[in-house]
Amino acid sequence: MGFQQFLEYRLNFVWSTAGAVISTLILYLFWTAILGSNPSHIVSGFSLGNYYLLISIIGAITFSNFRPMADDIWEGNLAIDLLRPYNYVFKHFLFELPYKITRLVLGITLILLIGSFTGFKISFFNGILLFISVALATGVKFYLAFLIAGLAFWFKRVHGFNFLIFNSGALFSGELIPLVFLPPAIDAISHYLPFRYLAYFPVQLGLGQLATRQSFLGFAILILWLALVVVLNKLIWAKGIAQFEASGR
Amino acid sequence: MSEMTNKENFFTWIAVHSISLLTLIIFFKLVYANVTQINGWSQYQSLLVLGTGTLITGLGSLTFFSFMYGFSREIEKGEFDFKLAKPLNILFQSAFRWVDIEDLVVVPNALLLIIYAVWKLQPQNLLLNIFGYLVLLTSSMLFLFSILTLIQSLAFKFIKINSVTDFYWSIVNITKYPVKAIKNVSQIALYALVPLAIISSVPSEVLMGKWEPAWIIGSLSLAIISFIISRHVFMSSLRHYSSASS
Repeated sequence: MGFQQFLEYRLNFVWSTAGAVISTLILYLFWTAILGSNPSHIVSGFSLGNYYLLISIIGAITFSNFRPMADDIWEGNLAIDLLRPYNYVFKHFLFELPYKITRLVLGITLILLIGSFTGFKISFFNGILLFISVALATGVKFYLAFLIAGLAFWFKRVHGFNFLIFNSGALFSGELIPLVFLPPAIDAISHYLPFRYLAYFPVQLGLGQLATRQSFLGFAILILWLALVVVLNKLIWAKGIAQFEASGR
Repeated sequence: MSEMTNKENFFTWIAVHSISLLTLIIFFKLVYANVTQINGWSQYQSLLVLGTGTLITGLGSLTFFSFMYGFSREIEKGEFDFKLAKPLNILFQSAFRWVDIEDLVVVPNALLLIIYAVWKLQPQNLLLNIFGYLVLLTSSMLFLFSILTLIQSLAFKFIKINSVTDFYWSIVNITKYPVKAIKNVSQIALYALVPLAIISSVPSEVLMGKWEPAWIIGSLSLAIISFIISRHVFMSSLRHYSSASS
């Protein structure tokens, strides 16, 4: 059903992908301008181009849209879903799956294509680690989107919360600024938040920048965050549904 | 307006938008801790662009950004027919649907940042600059409105285009960066960056006293031409609309 909807509304995919590509491209060009203004800066051994290529692909694959769920709550359509014999969370995951698979295929193609010109490649082992970390990060972001949508039980519009979480998150995830540029105090904070493990950690795995111990620790933290957002989600949605009211037109 | 009647919700929005802006201020502070300027753009000039981009976001939310939400859904469900039956301009009805009052706090936050940056920059002929800034800000809003109108015109043909919201927010968020500072890229990339530079970088330059006739005339012309084209495209696309409810 998800694939059917995806094929029916292909333009939707083009728009959401184009938005992510433009944002990342501008940030990449902006960072090129910054580094051009201070040529002495060395970006910790990896090239900025490879970094932004990976982080943008990871961002696109792990992206989850909170709006369909928030709309369901706000418009009362959730009432119909709750009566049907399927899992509401699973339904939305299935709807998002075709977008994620298409972006994954496009991402791999792009890496292979660019790699054939620049020599950039990811080893098989690092590729496996990258894939697992992206799968876990996708889960965390999916449940984070569900958490944001769940706030629609109490708020009319929840896009501001999305901005808050992902704008401030972008600072700690490496999407806005490569984390090597963060001052030690902010870098220390980033270790206690999920964002670092949703983008920067997979990129580091892909680029082979982490020792075995750091990789294991990163995976453990990522799994802990996944467990935490799942539990939080259950609590918020249970509380929200308990007070949810919908009436027909 | 209902958000304002709930005091907790309203204060939540103040916190949400203030922290979002603060994150970007921290970003620029971190960047300028490493460099003194980016291709001639100082820290306060960049903060001025951030303030202008944020002001545009706030003003857009108070006016036509509601065009982004629910328009394609109305077409999909056949609710657009009710609008057609009304004796009001259809583009106006579609674009100005409601006021995003919860985003009201974005405007004072942006103004504070702009005042701070201008105070630090100390430009000459400030009154004249403010006048030029307001004219170019209006032109930027018109340009953004035209882009949205063009995109939403596609809804008549493709119906479900709700990811447009993500695309449009990407464009709006990019206006918070000094796009004119990006140089040393290919000529094609530079041309592609021009419309983005026009939205917030050009008005900010005028406010800081840097009047570049080519950019100013270009901004005003682009806004007017894009508005005429987008209105024409919207009305032409409307002819292809057939009621979904029938």
